[in-house]
Amino acid sequence: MRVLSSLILCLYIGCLSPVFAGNKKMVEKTTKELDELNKQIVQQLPDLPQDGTIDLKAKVRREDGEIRFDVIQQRVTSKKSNNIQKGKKHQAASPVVQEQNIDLGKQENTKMVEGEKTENEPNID
Amino acid sequence: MNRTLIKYLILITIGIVISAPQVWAGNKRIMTIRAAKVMAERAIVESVHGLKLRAREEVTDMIPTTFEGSTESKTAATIKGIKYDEVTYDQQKDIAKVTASVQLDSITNIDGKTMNLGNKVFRRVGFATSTPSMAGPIRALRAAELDAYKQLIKRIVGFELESKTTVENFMLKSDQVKTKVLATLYLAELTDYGWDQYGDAFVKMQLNVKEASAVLGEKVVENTETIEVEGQGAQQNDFKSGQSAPKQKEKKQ
Repeated sequence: MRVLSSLILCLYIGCLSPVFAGNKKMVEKTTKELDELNKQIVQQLPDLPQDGTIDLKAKVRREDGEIRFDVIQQRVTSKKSNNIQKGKKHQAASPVVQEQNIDLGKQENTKMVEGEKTENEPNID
Repeated sequence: MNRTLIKYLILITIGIVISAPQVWAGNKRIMTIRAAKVMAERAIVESVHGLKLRAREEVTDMIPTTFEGSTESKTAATIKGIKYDEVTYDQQKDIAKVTASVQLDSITNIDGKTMNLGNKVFRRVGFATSTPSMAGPIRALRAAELDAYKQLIKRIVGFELESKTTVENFMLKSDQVKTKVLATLYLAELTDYGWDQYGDAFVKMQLNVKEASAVLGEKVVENTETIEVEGQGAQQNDFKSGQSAPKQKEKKQ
């Protein structure tokens, strides 16, 4: 009887497993993480407007459970005053020991805050 | 007389049926094992010589169906002295598993730096199949492996984040978030791997920071002794019919 019930359980799991298999959980988790990370960084920026938009480009690294970031480019648009504030380089912590070259591309209709940098899509070839 | 003849005929038939698979055996077994050896060799090269990895993630309005992710890896090296410690073949599933190891005094890594490995043994495992219907779990494992590499790079080197955020009455709403990773990685070690009950794969990897610093002759970030990560990979894309689908691509060597 026990053997039979074990066999039924194995068959049940075997048949149902492919139904649950997939990347949904992983994608949802990553989406949530990206949202939280972005909000965490944006909240640390100075001069946040009450209503407006923030365009941000930053180099991020996790160290000992903490997020450390360097803002490469920041553009804050306030709805009420309609002001555009281009942020200065903001450093949350002193990070980065091992730097890697990440080519930063040309941003159309956007001025670079930290000098002019030519940008090409990183090529792995 | 007739009964004896029938008995002999039955015995001969049973004999043929039992021996048939061996008679029909082709090169599938050899091909699968060879492929698993190549996978194990690649894993060794990725661990010792290193790999170049580029990854992107993008999500709009925080809706999972808009998520787009891709990871590409590349490596190439000539390494002598790889040994196959264990070769296993599952005839029913047509899956081969090969454990390979290498012991080297020194090597030039993907960045062109010579590393003194001090005869440390690097061991990695490779899986392969010649049957497409059995490839799902192996593909998921490779996806998990690439995810683990990406996570290690994110921890050591960092990544670039680009976002558009709306503020309404001091409330934040992420409109678009993108991340980019482009870096080289070496000396990553595999500590565990497997599949969960749903068939999704996991790969645990670690980088011994202290050891890596000694080998490279320069400080590797983080104060911890080891950095451990767990990569995940799925067999199926749940968002196939949606707007976009996450990708795990790999450049051929």
